[in-house]
Amino acid sequence: MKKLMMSAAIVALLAGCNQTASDDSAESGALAGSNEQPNADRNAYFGDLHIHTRNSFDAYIFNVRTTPDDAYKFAKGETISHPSGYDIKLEGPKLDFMAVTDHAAYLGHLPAMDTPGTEISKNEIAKDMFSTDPDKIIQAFSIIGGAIRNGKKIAGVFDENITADVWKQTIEAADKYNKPGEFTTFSAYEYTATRVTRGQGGGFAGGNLHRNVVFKGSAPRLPFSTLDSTNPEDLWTWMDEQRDAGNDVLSIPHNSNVSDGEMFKLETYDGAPLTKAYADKRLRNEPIVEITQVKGTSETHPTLSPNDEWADFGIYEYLLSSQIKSKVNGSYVREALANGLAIEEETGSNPYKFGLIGSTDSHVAGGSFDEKNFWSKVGIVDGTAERRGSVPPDGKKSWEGVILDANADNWFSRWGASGFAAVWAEENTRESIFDAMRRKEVFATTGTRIKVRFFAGFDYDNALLDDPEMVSKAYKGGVPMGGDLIGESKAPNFLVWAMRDPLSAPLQRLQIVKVWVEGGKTNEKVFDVACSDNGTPDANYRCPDNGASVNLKDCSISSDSGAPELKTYWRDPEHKSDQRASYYVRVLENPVCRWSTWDAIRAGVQPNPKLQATIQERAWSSPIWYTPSNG
Amino acid sequence: MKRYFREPIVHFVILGALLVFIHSLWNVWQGVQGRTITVSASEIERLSQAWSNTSGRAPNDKDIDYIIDQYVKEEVLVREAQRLGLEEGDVIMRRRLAQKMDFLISAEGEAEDASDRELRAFYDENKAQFASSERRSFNHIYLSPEKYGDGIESQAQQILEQLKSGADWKGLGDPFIQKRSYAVIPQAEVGRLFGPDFATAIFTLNQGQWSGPIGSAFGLHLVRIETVDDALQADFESVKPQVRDAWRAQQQLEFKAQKVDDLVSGYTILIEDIDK
Repeated sequence: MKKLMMSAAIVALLAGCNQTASDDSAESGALAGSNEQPNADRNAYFGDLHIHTRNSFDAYIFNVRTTPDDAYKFAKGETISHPSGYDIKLEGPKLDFMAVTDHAAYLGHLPAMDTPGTEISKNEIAKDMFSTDPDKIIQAFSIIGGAIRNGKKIAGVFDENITADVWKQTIEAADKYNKPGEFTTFSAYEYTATRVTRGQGGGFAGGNLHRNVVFKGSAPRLPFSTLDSTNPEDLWTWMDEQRDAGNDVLSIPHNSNVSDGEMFKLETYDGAPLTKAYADKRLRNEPIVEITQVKGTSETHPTLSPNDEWADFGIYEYLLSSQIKSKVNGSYVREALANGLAIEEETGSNPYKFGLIGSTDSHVAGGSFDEKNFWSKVGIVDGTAERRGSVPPDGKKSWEGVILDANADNWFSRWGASGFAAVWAEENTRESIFDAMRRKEVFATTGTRIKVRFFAGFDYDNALLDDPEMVSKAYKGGVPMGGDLIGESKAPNFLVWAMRDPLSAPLQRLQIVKVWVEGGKTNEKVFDVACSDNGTPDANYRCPDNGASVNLKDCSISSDSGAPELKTYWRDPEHKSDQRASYYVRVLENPVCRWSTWDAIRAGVQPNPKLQATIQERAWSSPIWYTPSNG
Repeated sequence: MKRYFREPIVHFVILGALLVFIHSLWNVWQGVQGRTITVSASEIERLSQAWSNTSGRAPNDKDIDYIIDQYVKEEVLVREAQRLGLEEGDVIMRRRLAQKMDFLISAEGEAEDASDRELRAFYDENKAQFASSERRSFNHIYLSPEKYGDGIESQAQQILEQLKSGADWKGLGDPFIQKRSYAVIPQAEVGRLFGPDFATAIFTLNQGQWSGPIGSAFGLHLVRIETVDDALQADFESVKPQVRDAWRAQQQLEFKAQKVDDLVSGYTILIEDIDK
């Protein structure tokens, strides 16, 4: 117990969190302008930390004209317009927090090119970009895209003052909408590095190394973009300097699924072996990773997890702007969590000890979270059902002999209505939410508002589940998601708890995904730990089928199966006290129609037979790490 | 012959003929005018501006051709409609015209800024308007349907009995993943957290006693309302910007009403008796 106390104390110190938690302690410290009281047991807040507006070079070409102001209005439940000519609005409640993350390289340059009278609009590239000749437009667009990838400042196009102006507007918009206790915003941008791994001769295909850079409060005059360096390690150096200068900041990698094995590879950017210094630097700057978004889910891949029946969710493999598939190894979160343990065994530090969030990456200033009403991501390019391959083209009523456009077939139709960033924080403020991200007490969902809690300790028991003060006792006797347990002679035990989204399907099962190292080799296993409808997991740790079904005629779901909440106490039956291991929770809902099925029903056609008709929405907790005491 | 010219009837006929002649001349002139559409430079400017406001960029030559083409077509259709007298008795058109006039009048009524004293007086008269909506504080005890199944209602009754005999609510029921106590929150916020039915129920309960069970998307709840703040009175300084906006809106409204009354007074209004 003493060791746990010590490690818990260290975690508490590092995270700066308050461990004296109880219902009654939440009496003082009301926020100005709000009646919300800080909750020592912490509240779940849902947000989106990945949104583009007209200031992103690509969004502007997708005909997006909405601004950061519009993006924040959308998050607060207002209606904004989609470039394809319809209105978009959040289906559920307003978001609790949000950040606009426009591409920093060439930030705001396209709107400036398109404004008559500006210096930049007189440039040939600008003229081509806004000509009526599609070939010229595509060519001009690829010049900018290429310059962002290669970190090139094109003379006569790149203008630092435009970047500085628009970045200032971005910060002002965030500050304007930030209302402590009600709605939190962050100044943020996207660092859009892509490593050209293939297709050097003609065409291009490369690994996505994109990150969102999020400031806690104050931010510098200029963002650090690929025009400064295309190596993310240089970004971390800059972020370290920013922190020293008082601008606290973290970066969140996304779309590792299309990184061509680059995001979580087992060497540095330049191919050197991973060291403790590298791991510490990476972790200091990147405590969390975006596991799900429109362009697919990066949890794992069926070839990496052949024994996980749910590993085929949200698989999207095509490298950006290409029809080449990404390399699997090095591209997925679960594999990285396991590799991180092995690296730690060798070097003493784990570069892949990250927490998990989701977000949308919407380029139309408003996230498309809802299967029922999906507008996808890239403006006019996938703004209609036909364009994204969920309805046959040219008003056809059947899929007989239909050959879809390759982009609709390989890209848009494979994308998803996902996801949310969720945090457990004392109150809805920049301070509290940013701190939650730093201590990794965060979780990800695929666009549903499942709430999930996860605690580990050595002295929990089954009775705690029914204790009305379960949460404060769980904090006192252990660590929440994102935390560390340092080994004892006892096996760790876990409290797992999830509650449904009233607007989505009921819950089907709770799972714990375990990764561990044995004899230098990485392993993974999925345990069902709680089943709906009074089921119990069998000898292979699987729940019985709960019989949930979806009516594909109208997308209605069975009302007699599934649970509003699932909660359990769990001990790892295979625990070995000398083995490094990491555990995270996956919550699965009963199945619902996929967005493509909703699109097809609305159009009165059969759903595209190449696509999954239904999906199981889900949530992932951040992991808890177990380290042997001699580790 | 001279006599004829003195006859009033002759005057009348000649004058009539003259009128008919002038009228036909006027019609010819009108026909020429009516079949010429001039698209002025300033009109093109205005249309281009409107176009770039919606498209986000300035129109190029091709766009301008298109804009002009659309304008001409619309103008022709409007004139043809007028020729056929379609605007007569068109309720939509009448309303639209009245609306436009209304806007015109409102625009004249841009009020000057109020002094702090005026604002203060206005605030004192309209305090209720600046109060926030009703807010309630409540504690709740959650019962999980997963745990009790069909026995959940009787479990709820049992807990109510325990509460009556003085048991501490904090030790009863099941843990809840959100909070067990909510302080001064409005109905919309409760709806967002628990669903609208639960929120409606919470805002009709009496204060100070345990009630329920009330259903939500999560299960059953026993609820005790701790405080009810119907009209949370705002202090003047903190709501001054809103007071100023409201004062302006009020001034404009009064100005407009006065202006319309003035216009009405320039007319003679005859109202026929309804029951004849």
